[in-house]
Amino acid sequence: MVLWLIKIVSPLSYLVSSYFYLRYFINRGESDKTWAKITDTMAILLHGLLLILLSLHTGHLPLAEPFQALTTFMFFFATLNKLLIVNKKEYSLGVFHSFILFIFQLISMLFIEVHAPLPDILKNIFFEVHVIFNLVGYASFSSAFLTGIMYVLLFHEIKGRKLGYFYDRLPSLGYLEKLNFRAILIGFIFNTIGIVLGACTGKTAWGTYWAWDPKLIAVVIAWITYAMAIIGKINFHWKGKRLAYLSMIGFTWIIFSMLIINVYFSKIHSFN
Amino acid sequence: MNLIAFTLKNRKSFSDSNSELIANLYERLRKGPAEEVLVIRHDKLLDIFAICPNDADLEQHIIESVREALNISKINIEKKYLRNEALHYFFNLISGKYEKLIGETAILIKIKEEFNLAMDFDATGPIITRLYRQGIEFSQELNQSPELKKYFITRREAVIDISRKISENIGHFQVLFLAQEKEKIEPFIQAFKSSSLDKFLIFAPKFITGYEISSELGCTPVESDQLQHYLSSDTIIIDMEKNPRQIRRFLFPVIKKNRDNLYIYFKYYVHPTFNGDAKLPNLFIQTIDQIDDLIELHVQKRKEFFATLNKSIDKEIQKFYTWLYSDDRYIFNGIVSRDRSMQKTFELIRRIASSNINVLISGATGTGKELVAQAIHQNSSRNKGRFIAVNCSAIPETLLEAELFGYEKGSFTGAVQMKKGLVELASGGTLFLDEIGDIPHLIQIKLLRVLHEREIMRIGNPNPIKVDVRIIAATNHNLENLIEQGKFRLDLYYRVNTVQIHLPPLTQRSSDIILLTQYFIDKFNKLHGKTVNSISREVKNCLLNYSWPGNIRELENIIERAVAVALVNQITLTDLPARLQKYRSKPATSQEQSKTRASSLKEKEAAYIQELLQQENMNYSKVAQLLGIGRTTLWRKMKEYDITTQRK
Repeated sequence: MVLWLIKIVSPLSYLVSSYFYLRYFINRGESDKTWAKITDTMAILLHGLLLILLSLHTGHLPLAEPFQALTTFMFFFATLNKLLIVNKKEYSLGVFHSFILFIFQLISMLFIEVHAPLPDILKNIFFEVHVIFNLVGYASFSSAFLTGIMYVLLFHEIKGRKLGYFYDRLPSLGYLEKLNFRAILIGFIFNTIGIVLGACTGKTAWGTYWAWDPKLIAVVIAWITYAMAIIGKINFHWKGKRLAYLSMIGFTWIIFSMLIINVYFSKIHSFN
Repeated sequence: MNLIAFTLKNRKSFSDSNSELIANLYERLRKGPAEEVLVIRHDKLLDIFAICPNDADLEQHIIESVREALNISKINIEKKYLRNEALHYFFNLISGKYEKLIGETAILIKIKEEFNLAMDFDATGPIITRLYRQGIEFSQELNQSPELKKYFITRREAVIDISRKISENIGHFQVLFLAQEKEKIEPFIQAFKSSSLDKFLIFAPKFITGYEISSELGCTPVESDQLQHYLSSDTIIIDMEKNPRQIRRFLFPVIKKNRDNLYIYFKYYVHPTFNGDAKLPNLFIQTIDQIDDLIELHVQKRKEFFATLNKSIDKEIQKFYTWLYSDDRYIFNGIVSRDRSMQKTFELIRRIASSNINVLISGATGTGKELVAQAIHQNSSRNKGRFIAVNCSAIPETLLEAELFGYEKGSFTGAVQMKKGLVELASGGTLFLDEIGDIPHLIQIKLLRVLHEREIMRIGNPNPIKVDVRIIAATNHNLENLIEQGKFRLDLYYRVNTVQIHLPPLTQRSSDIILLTQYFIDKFNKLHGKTVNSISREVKNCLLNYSWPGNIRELENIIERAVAVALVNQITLTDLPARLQKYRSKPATSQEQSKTRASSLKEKEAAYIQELLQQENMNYSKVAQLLGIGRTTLWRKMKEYDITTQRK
């Protein structure tokens, strides 16, 4: 009963917070900012509560089927954004991530199967940790994707010498670059650990560390993209624009390749 | 009492009319029906704010005055604002709503100057002064509001804001000016300095000029072959050169080379074919058009903000009316006066209060010197500290030193314990030294030390103690005479007399006598539980004709006595002391006799004018015609005799 109620309320709570973030983005009013802060925190806490209830209900982490995994992913996404962006007193970006949260939380709540049977492979603790690390990593990459978009929008407004809408509302280029790189770095670290753990589980499950599976190849390509961004920034002093584009490319690659692979290929790295 | 505002329009600019013409204008305006006037000159407009009991003939008079005083034949009234509208107009004007760059503070400075001018020509009074004060406060508060701070309207603020939008932190940036005019560079340097940038470079093709300006502005001069060296860190470049080809030839290769550094480039003059150097990712070029567009956008935002201000202006107007209809309209920190010279004194007190300046108050006994000292204390930032008043002539010379500076235990017979002096007790507050002319020579020297070093020595203690005290001195002697006699030290006089406030005797403030009487009646009614509400005509004459040697203090005592002994709700002649009663109609001395006779003739004239006015139902033109005088003269006489002007 409580679970059922939260399933309805959780997406709506993100809708409410995105409403206040939007109002703040447009009007820059102080009261909207305060409300956005409060509703955003409430929504994340509610989301966390939902995950805990799901875990207690089913006896395992909510990763058993795609939509369970999606809502867990969205929770990491929300928490990361909250920690990386909003807590640094930058509220203009809240409207973007809170709206994305609303959409995906709605989708996952509509299609979630609470009592989906847990695939055998997931009963391995290594595998569970591998999935969680990867989810955190991709959540961070998606945050980098968002700040990358912001950076490019503002960069073109300033470079194109038309100071207008985004100029008034977005934080500075330097700050966006910092956020962007931080998100890439955090995502990369989690993603690396996730991949290594994945290889270990692969060894126990299929008896090999590496399989020429399309999904694995796509993941490694994305990982190389982000590794390039980090090396470029640290060793070659790449500027924010290149990092922003790389984070956008990397994340788009992840989304598209996963969609295509899930539809057209079905190889060993799938569990249904 | 109404406030009326006129906006006059002329083809010629008003701003350059010199002060002689303005003096002339104020003189003419003061002869008219308006009690208080404030003229604000704009470029081709002239604002005249007038406080006037009745606006019947004001318009005509103002047009005539302006025409005659400023030698302008063709002038017309563009707009006329009455009461509330006029107040609205004033508050909007002072907040900068009508400025080209809305909310610009230049108007505030202009109004301050114009008000000072009006005060110099005795055209202001309590109402205009209050309005001006309130307007200044309103405008300053407005300028502190986050909305106006967010929407900046100067180019230098825009430059800083854009730089901040590009790099989060600009504290480490250096600034390179490509310019040769000192006046243009200076405001930028000021603005950058307040944003904690401190490294400034000037690149000037004519090396000598560049060198001269840079030493004046504290910048480093840079030659073209030094660019490579100096530009190896993040730089904001401000380019005011009209023909910058030469500079760009040197500059861009350097920028291209230093890819790790950020360059934010602001261009004042742009060639039509200029398309920026979009290829360099470390170079952000902004042109002056972009900056001005941004400012234009902010001006729009400010306009929207100013449109929402009506509510707070209404609140201000409400505040103003509350003050206007309250009893404390003529009261400034307990000092009651509607006299113009006293109003000027009030303004002076407000201005000097905040600084730590020493003040000398001079004036005959009973003119309220201590009240002025208290007012200064109350209006200063020291008002949380103590206000200690010492009457120097009331303390025996031998004790004065111990009283002022204190003593240590056992420093002399009877000093059984340490005692702090009054100067020390007043630390953080104000020390008021009344009758400073009576201080003995020895203590004058010690006092000088307090004023000079800000420290005292207790008797019996050689260690000086730091004190933070403001000293206000008062005297009813002529200190200059005392100096000539050698009784007062010249150096102390100079120290004390930084600002002098002179309080006129009550006879010179005759317009205040009745006002003060009313004030004291109210005060003593409360004190003695009486309900006196008026004074008889005879009493009024007595009060006005008496010579008041004891000034306001004497008046206060007489009214206290009268209120206490009054049998009915009116103070009658018998309630006054005998020495005043004889002033009922005939003053004692011949000098005052002539004055009274003159006033009785005036009284007759006043009564006649009053009668005619009532007969003609306040038709001024007709009355003036009947009397054979001009309307202006009639106005002047009515004002002189304080004839009320209510229509039946």
